[in-house]
Amino acid sequence: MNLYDPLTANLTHYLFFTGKGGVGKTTMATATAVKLADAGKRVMIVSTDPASNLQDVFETKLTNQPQPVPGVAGLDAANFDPIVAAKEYRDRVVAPYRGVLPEAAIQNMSEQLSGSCTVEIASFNEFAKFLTNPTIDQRYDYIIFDTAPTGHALRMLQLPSAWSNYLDHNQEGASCLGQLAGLGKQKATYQKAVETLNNADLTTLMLVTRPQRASLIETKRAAHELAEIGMTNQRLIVNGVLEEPTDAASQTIYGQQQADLRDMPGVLSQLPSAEVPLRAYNVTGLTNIRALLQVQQPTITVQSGQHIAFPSIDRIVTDLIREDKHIVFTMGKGGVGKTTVAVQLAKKLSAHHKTVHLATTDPADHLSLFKIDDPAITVSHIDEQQVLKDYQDDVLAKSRQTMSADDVDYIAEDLRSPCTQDIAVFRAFANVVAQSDSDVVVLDTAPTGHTLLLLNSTENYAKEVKRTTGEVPQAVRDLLPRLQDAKQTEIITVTLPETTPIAESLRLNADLERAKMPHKWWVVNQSMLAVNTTNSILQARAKGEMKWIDQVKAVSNGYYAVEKWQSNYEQVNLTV
Amino acid sequence: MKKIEIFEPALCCPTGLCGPSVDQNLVRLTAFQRSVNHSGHAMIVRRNLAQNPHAFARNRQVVNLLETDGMACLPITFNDGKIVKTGKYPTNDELTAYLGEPLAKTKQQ
Repeated sequence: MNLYDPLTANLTHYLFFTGKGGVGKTTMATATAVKLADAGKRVMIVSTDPASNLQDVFETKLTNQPQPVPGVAGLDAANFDPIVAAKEYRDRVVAPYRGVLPEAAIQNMSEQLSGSCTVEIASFNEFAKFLTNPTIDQRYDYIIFDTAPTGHALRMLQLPSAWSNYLDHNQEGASCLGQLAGLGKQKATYQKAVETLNNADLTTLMLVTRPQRASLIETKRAAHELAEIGMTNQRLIVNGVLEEPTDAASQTIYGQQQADLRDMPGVLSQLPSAEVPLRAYNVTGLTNIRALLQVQQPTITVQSGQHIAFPSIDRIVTDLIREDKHIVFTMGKGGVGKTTVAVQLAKKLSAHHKTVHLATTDPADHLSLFKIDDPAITVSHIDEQQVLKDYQDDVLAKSRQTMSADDVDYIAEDLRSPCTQDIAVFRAFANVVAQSDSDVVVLDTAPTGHTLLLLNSTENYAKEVKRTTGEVPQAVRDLLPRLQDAKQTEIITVTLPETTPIAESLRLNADLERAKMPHKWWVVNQSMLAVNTTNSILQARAKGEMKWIDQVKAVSNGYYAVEKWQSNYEQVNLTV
Repeated sequence: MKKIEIFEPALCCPTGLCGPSVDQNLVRLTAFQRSVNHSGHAMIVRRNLAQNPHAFARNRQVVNLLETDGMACLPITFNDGKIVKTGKYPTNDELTAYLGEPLAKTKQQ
């Protein structure tokens, strides 16, 4: 594979970097922008990633208005945090009614405006502005977007076509899009944004991946889904390829990376691709950004290999047993290893004579890796896509009995809402918990605080009016109070010792806090620090993890564990 | 033109599909509302607390009811400015009655 070089890559006017949290999107986008600007091009970089560290990278304060980056002639940058924007929007909407409407009404409003819909609409709004502004179009040779992590990015990018349909069909006004007042007026802007995204001469999707099987599978999914909505001009950048193994640990990594790249999913291997080697430094500051894509690298100063002992997840297992927990969730964004931690916990709980039911939402690609020999562990699989589809089919079937085809289409439109998926999955694991007679149920995904609050408020409302609205299933109603009960439930946050995953985990935690869900333990997964190595690049990487592990130690009040990096962790850890 | 106004709790979407369960009541109401509104002879307007808080705050009767009865008073149905039902959505029969016989006949099914 060739080294990634933006100058010879024949790039289009608009570039979108995408990939799940922690693959190095911001790094790749930034290095591309600086390289192009240094070659005399006029470039703008826009960050819409809520976990963006663009300001740290450039060591300057940024706003949502483009401004020059000190030290790089020809480069402007803008930073936009959709979470902050959504919050500002919510505050703006709710504020005038405080003291006017009763507190219960204010709370009801506020929670409805705290969901992912509001965040996604806020981000797309901003995104479309940059995409369709003629001044920006003319002023710059390249406009580079560092988009949010995959799941979020997918939705955001999928929204244009979905929204166009919404705006065409939904004349009743109130829908998920009703959340931003006056949205319909911007239809022309959105249409133009969609056309630009789908124009292969103007727009390239830069898929950033790690040279690891799980990351490649995730990337394949993103590539496929985005191609389906019309973004067919795609390139692959493999970030973090280890070049020269020098000891056992680095040899293992090298072997694993090369094997995973060789077995890359076919769809990806057909894309134009390039690689960026694993570097010994974190890419902050202009010196490092400029060095990243150079062939000639600065010499590495090797640190003395101090070995630090970290607490292992055995601590967590002991605590779960002592506190007699019955429901254990592992929570985190895609790619942090929720499933491997869940499997580890199940095995260790079983070793302590507990019967365990393990419910996984991991995509079916991994399912073949589960090998169950332990009779004390039962496994079930929740297919999120299937669960959502069942829910949609169920609703549509019922609707068809009483409605005209026109009206059924309208219902189908509402079923595309992102909240629908969260709720559908929650219903599925409520069933798993209700049906299990094991001592402990371990689930490798957790409801967000927002989902729980929505369900809670519906349930409270139902109690207040002495009836249920709709048919809240019994399993869901039973599960709600149990989830907030710290005597039975523990939600373990799984994260990686890197910028984006930590920022994402902190946000998920704030959400749990809001919903009063018990969450004491943190697991820092895939830590290089916990590995013994003399390889200078790996040692340098490991040193960079220290600040993140320290941060986890602080926010968790010491309730944390560190799992060391394992090259073949899928094979090892998914075997029960 | 005849106007029925319904003040509802905050919902993500008018069918309630993105809520915790499918509320067939909302699905039914949405269908009924669409057929009436498309006829052009009458109008059913729905005010959702998340999206139209101003309509709530502006309506003295709604604010008073919310203060005395709490959220349980929602949904509130107005028929030409008069409260005709609180705490539950109107049925199709009730809506038909509010609208008056001849008009509603064409809207059913």
